[in-house]
Amino acid sequence: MLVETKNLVKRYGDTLAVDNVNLAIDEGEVFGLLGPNGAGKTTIINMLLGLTKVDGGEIHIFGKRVNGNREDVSRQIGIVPQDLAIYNDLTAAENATFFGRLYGLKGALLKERVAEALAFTGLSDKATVFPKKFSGGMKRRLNIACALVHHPRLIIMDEPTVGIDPQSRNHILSSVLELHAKGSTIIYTSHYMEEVEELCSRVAIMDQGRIIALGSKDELKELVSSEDRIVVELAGVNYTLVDEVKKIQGVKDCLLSDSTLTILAVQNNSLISQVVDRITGTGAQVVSLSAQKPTLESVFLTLTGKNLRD
Amino acid sequence: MTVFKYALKRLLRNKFNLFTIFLLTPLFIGFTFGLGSFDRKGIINVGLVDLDFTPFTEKLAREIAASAQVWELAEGDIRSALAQDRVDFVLVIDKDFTQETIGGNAPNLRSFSIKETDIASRIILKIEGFLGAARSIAATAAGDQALFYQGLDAYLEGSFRIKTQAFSRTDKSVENTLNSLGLLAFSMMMLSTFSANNLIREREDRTFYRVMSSPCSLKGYMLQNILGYLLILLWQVLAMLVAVKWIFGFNLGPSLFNLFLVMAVFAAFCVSLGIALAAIARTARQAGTIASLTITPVAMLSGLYWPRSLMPRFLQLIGRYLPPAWLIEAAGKVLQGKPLSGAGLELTILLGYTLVFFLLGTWRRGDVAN
Amino acid sequence: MKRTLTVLRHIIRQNVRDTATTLGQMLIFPIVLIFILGMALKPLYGVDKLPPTQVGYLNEDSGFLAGQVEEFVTSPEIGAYLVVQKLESTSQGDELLREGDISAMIHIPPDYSARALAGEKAEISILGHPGRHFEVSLVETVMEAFTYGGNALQALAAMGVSQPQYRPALGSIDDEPLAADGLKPNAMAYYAVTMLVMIGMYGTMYGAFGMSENTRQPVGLRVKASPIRTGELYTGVVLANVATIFTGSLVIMAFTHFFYGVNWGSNLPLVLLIAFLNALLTIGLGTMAMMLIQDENRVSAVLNIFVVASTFLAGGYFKISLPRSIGWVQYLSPNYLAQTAFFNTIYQGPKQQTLLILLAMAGIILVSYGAALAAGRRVR
Repeated sequence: MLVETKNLVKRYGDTLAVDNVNLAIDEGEVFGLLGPNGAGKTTIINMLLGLTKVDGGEIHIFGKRVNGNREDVSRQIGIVPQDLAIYNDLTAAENATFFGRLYGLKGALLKERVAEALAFTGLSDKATVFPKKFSGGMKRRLNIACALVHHPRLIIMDEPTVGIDPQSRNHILSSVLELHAKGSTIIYTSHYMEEVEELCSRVAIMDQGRIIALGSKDELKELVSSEDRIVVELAGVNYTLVDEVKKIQGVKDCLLSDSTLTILAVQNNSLISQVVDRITGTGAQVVSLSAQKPTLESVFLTLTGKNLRD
Repeated sequence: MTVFKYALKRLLRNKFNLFTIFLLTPLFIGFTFGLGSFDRKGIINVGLVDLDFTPFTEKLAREIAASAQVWELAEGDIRSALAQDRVDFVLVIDKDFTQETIGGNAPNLRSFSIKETDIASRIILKIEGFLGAARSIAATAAGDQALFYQGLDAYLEGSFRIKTQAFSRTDKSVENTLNSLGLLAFSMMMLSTFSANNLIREREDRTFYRVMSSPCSLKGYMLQNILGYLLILLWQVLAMLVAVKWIFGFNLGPSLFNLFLVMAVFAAFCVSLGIALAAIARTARQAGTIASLTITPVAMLSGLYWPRSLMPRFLQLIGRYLPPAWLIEAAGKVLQGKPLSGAGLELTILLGYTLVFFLLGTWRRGDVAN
Repeated sequence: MKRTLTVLRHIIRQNVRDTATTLGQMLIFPIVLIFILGMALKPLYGVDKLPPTQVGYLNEDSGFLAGQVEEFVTSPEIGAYLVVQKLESTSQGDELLREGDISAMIHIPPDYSARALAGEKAEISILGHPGRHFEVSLVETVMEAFTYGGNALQALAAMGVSQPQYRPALGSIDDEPLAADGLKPNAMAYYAVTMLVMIGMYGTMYGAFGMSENTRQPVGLRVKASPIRTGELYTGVVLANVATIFTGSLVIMAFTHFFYGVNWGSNLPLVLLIAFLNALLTIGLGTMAMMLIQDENRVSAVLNIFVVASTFLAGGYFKISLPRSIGWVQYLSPNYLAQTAFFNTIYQGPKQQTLLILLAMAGIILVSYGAALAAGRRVR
């Protein structure tokens, strides 16, 4: 177990920012921390880093208690903060060198690692350029490079893709996968569902300081996978239609608004053809039909009754 | 020492910082040293309106100038010169004053002064003495102008003299030096906003957060930053002391090294103050406001602008315990030639203040992430 | 016009809400400073009589002149200037000097009378306290009055007078005393003016940050994107900040008048005009600084040093004495201009100078806003 938290609690006044969080992250995992803004993701990260006082519970990283061993533990962690944390008056290479030194690297090894980190993030040819002249995406990449110089065992990325162009985003996502392939353990927070789905092997979904679901992607989807959602666009709506559809065995609920019919049903492969038969039977016409497979988004929706991004 | 090295690198790379450190501040301090130390009535200012303008009145003016600063005035300026404190007393020599004196008519001079003060009465005593002699000589010369001047010259070159030691008006003594060191200390305190601003900026751009998540400790980070700013302040102090001694010719006491050490302790205090300031203020502007709100009154009360002994007792009492007051005490002792150990208590207290402010600036560990 | 008013109202509201700065920097700070300065430096604003100076007197001469010196220093006329303590030895005098109990030791050397009789240089020595120039110079001046007598008798004798007579020409100066009240400020009144001007100078910050917040920061972009014309925006921002500074000045004037008894003179309209021009000028300088430097932290650092230096140079903290040859340097300080205009108006100084100063202030105002506008255009 690389990271383990037990009943982690953080209070700000009366509000529980983190409410009895238990996490266990294995070496080599890409672990996703998913939740809307204000769910407590960054607070947990700050506690993992030993930067925010823990009000209750314990954190062990690399088998050591963080509390009391912060400097020792932090030596093998690389943090990519949510906000850009680079010096505008140091060049890209100098930034990387500075942070590399803080983690105890020096000499030829430091030089080699800086070059490697810049190459990894595609900034080799910008080594001597000041970040002032960088685009938003390039700054984000440098922000990541600075966390990699010391080859950390655990990399924590706190919303590393906020507000950047798709190209830089893809670059960042593929580099996360590459880091994973090299064996790094990564904690990745985001409120972008697709990113987490693409990258992470296991995911914790957070809301209001609590973990409301935890498991592999498939396990989480299982939570809602007993249901299918079928969305049908209609022409020529007929009022007996809803009742007719509800009569089909396996349909749990059916909702018509304007010309869109949403059907929640138990998973059943023959269901769709039955639905189409029934609808055409009432004289209405099917314009389009889609069957939605469960996503983490729908997991979140189901668990909290809220959309992730509102 | 990575933080220290890079802090210096970044400070010195910035043109604006270079400008502030190497040009603006030394200029300001040099300027205050060179131009104005505190005018604690170092000398009596006499305005002279000479409407006669003869060798006799010139000799009179020279005698007055031996005891006071003489400013030539036009008749119309008398009032405003007195009102603006440019002069303490105005002497008017009417036309034909010399002729009348030589003629034995013993004419009077006119003067203007502020009713409520008698600051010029010693000068008046002197003028009256001079005129008494001149009148006697005139009576003896009996209207002979050449004889009158001959007698007057003999009188002015008489063998009765006063010799004043350990003091002369042109010599800038230790007290003046102390006043100027006070101004230097004041500008050093103002410079603490400089380090505060830089620390606040690092907090704002989140690099502070990142450094804090590395194995570097908050105290280590702060200490290394302090070292960086301290180095710059020490450079400035050294440059200033050298300039003050060899350009402005101030008396810096027997040991420049001891004085430098005393100022170095104060420099450490100033940097520590900047760190505390950065911890209290949320933005650079707030830091500036807090600094100007507190530093100026503290500087005044502790005697950086003028000797504390000048103030009423209750203000002295407040000022006595403020940090810069201990600097003035210590510097005063070192200037008088006492060894550093003689100022041990003062320096210890100053170091105590330094530590308190340092802790104040670094104790809010829980806030690092926010 | 309407949009300008909207901006104006909005900024005044912001300024008022920013209580830390407005209340602290604009009102409490100056009122406390005026109090400290007025109390601390009261003795310096020259309406007190100088107390007599403590001196030690050591006579080692047994000749005839020694008695005359002693008679002189202990005479009632001199008693107004010197308080004499007879000493037994130089070491006693040194001790008293070191303790600061006396400011100077008057020392008649053993051969004083003998040398004088022989026509050689006869010196009375004064050993002065190193820290008390002024007192020592007073003692020196008084003692010089004594040597005048000896030298006069000597000169008269040389001119062939057999029984020379000397007495100082007492009463030979017709003095016309002017009352300090109404002629010159006392300490409180002096600092009420200089601190008022200094606070106005801190208004440069308002000028700078007002401009930055509403034109450069994200908010400013949004404001600029609205249909408001640049001119209208600038006018609104500037007027609001000028109004803030001017109101602060009024409060300080009222407070010092009612609580510190400071006299603001009989020409209130002119005094108000100067306060207004001062506000306009400082906001102009601040705006210009912001437009030229374009970085809040730097502007803040530069203005902080500028305000202190300018106040210092103007004698705002304490009067500084400059050699006459560089006296003009003071006119480089905006504080000095405003201060002199205030003092001239309140204490009936030369009207012509006041007029010139007001013109100079108007000139600076035009230049600063002009430069700000030019720099603003370039940035856009």
